[in-house]
Amino acid sequence: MNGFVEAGYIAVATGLGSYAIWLAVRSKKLNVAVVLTDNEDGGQQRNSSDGT
Amino acid sequence: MEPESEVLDISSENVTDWKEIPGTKGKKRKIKRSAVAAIFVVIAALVFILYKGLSSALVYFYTAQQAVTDKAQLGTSTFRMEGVVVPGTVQPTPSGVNFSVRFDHTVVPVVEIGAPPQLFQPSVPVVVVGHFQSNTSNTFLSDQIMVKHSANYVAAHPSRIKNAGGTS
Amino acid sequence: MARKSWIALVGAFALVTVGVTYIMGLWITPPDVFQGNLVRLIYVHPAVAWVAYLAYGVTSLASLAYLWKKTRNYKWDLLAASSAEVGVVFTALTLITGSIWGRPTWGVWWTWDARLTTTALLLVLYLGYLALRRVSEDREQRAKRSAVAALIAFIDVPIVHQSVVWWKTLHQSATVFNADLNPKIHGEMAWTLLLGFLSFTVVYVWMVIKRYDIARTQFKLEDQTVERAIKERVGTI
Repeated sequence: MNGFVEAGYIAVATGLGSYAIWLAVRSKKLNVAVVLTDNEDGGQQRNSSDGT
Repeated sequence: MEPESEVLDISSENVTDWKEIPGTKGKKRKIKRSAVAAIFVVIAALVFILYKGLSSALVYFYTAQQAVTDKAQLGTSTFRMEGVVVPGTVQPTPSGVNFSVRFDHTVVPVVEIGAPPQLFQPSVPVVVVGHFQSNTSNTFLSDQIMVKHSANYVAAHPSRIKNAGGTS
Repeated sequence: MARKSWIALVGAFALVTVGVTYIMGLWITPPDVFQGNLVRLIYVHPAVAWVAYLAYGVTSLASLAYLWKKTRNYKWDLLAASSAEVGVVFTALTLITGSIWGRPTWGVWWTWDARLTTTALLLVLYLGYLALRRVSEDREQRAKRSAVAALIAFIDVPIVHQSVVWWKTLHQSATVFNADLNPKIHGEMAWTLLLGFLSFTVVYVWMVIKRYDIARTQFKLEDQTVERAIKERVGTI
């Protein structure tokens, strides 16, 4: 087309795409961490009860 | 930088021997210091932008008419001037382009040094950056043309509209 | 589980609508009489800017909800922070796409006119908000301070929007949200423009949900780890 249009579209796709991937990876890792600590806590009582 | 990373560490192998509360001792200090540094950077940026804004954005340009009216006061200082390129006046020169801009009934001849932007053409509103040649001459010497296009968008058809800028 | 699939659905919808916007914007819509193919940037740039406004609006409402005693809850603080972070991403993209559009049309990458200056200010204000959130470790103090900061920063949003009316700018006036609410664009171009607004709004919704979930999980994790550390220390005495 003329380079500028493509650059603009690519910038948006890259910007939003990389932020979205970062969010997905971060939330996955965190969920693993939650499972680990839940196991660690074992039978002890905890104050959070909703399952995430 | 990321305070979350300490929390994430629990997911690695040191789960069992992990006894530090995140955000205590040295770590807390470090986070705070970098955050305070970040805030100073932000404040510096704010000051810079406000300075630029106050010195340039408040009166971003004079219309060609205002420029001629205030000529005595403007002298040969540099400012931005807006006007519509008068059709039939555009003449390419070895160093750039000569043309006239018009605002209402005031016409100012412009001598541009440098290549005009892609969308530069007769009848479009432009903002030229530069100064009057001298206190007596009405010619405006410019070293930059910016095309001020309108917010109207029309699908390209064979019948081209005359005044693409639509400001006059 | 059900919640998770809802979020995935929103994500899929976002991907599809953005995909369609891209196809429409890049290939289906006609070139403009004046701008030619450069007009295609209108399908992303204003939409991305609108999402930034929206994000900061949500941040402000959530901050108000936190400050108001009847609804005070850390949930609002976390939502405000999440929305602000997404807003910063969209503001940065607004500046980037604007710059890319400005170079071929205006002839400059950047100029200090009122619209560009106030938008740059917007980005820096909310970066400041995010930086401020990292200063205090005390949750209540952080929540209160940042809520107030968010409300102050929001003052710039209407200024950005009205800047093209209040001052002389190089930037054109609003095509869609103008005073007479009369879009100055028609046919396929108008539909694609509106689709762009919709699709990036859906992207925003997905991002805020994800970011909020992360913030909330971290919040709980901090509670748990503090609790565990206390238990372990008490246990070893």
